[in-house]
Amino acid sequence: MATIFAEHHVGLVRLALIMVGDRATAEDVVQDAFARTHVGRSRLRDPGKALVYVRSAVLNGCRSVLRRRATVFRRAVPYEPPVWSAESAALVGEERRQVLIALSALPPRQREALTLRYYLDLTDQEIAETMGISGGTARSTIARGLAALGRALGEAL
Amino acid sequence: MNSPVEDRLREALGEAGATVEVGALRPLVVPDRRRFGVSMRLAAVGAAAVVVAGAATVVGFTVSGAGEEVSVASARAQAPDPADVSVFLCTGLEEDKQACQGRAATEQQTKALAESLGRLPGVARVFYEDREAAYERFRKAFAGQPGIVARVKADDVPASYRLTLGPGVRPQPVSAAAKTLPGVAQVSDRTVTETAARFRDKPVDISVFLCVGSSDLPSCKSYEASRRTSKHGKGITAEDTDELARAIKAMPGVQEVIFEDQEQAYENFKKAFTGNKALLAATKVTDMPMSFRVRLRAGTDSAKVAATLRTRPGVAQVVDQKCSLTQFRLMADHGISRMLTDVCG
Repeated sequence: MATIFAEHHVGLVRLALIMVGDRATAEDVVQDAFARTHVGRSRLRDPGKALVYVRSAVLNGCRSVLRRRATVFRRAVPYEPPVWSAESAALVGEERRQVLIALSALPPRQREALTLRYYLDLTDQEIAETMGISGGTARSTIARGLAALGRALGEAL
Repeated sequence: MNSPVEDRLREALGEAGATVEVGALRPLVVPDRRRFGVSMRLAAVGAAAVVVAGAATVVGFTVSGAGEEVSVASARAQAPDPADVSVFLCTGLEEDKQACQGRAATEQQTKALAESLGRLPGVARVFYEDREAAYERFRKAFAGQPGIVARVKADDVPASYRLTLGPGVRPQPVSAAAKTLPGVAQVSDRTVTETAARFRDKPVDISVFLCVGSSDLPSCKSYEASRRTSKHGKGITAEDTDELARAIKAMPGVQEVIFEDQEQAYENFKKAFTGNKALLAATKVTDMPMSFRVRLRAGTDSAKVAATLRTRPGVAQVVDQKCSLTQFRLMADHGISRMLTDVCG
């Protein structure tokens, strides 16, 4: 489990960054996922599924963060502006920013599915396993997400 | 078969992801089973503190991020001195550009640090000491050494987070993790400051090591060459030793001189390295140096005395312990790193 994290640390943080928007929280999410999966590592039956398991843990962590931000304080105040906001100097192109803003406005499941597909290049089956849904649902979620994104960007342009 | 939306999404995600560089991440910490219960409890306490602070912000202060809540809550409390772990922030004036790249810690980094330091396992409380308070503390600590106070400007003294650890928590893992965070120039912990405190009370300010037969230092080689006969090899002669002892005692500011011969040096060496059998087996009494241990009166410039002693014949090397200790304290207690020559030059 530790080797999975060592190899995929940067990748996992990048995935979490896209989901939660700021880097410090992204690193925290990955650290938490690491700690949690580390405790349960002996219960993992199929070592080949470790990466899927770990990705799910990171996604779950991101969901918790977003849920907490949305419900407890009714405000989303990360201590770093999201990478896609205008205050962040991290992204250069306005074009990229629009895509990410549109993405962040999608329902969470669609956002996750699109990120797994177009950032990590996972197959439908892998996306389904990571998100804990069926292959068909993964496919339709991606299709709907893509359509919604297209509409949002079409309006923005 | 890719639609333009898919391509744009792919590129945007790729670029967003690439803002996290390889190698710039905080290392992952393996949870320690034995301490897990404790750290969970501490985490719960921390969470409670944030909730309380959160309630306060609702009452009337400006809405702020979690990081700020931690630092605001702790700024009012007095930081412990010495702290279990001191995390010194970048001033941008560090001579070693490795950690800070010549940049001061940004406000954002400072806030984020309060958050991340509070989350390190074993950390009980986080105090913030701003640069003004740090400079005040430095001036107080070195009130007896006006030369040092004159050499350090207010801008050189860094702000710091001073951490209190839970009972029984070892400081090394915490300081190792803190060192890797962005905006941190250097970290010192209890083990380091305690070492400094132990040396402070030693009755030796300057050690003068004499040439012995096995010395290989240039100072000893030139001493050998300066003598007509080389019967004694490179070792200092009895006459020169007596001469040197008289000279040291006659120097202004010298309070006490103790001679340490090779047997005594070997005894001390054995005591210091009891655990290292291989080293002890490889070291003979004749490898040990002879030395004069010099205690100075308060207020004497140790650097001047050391410089004079270095030029005496038969002296292998002179170690200015008082100066080293000052340099060490500057670093460990105040986060100010200076070259030896700069401290006592």
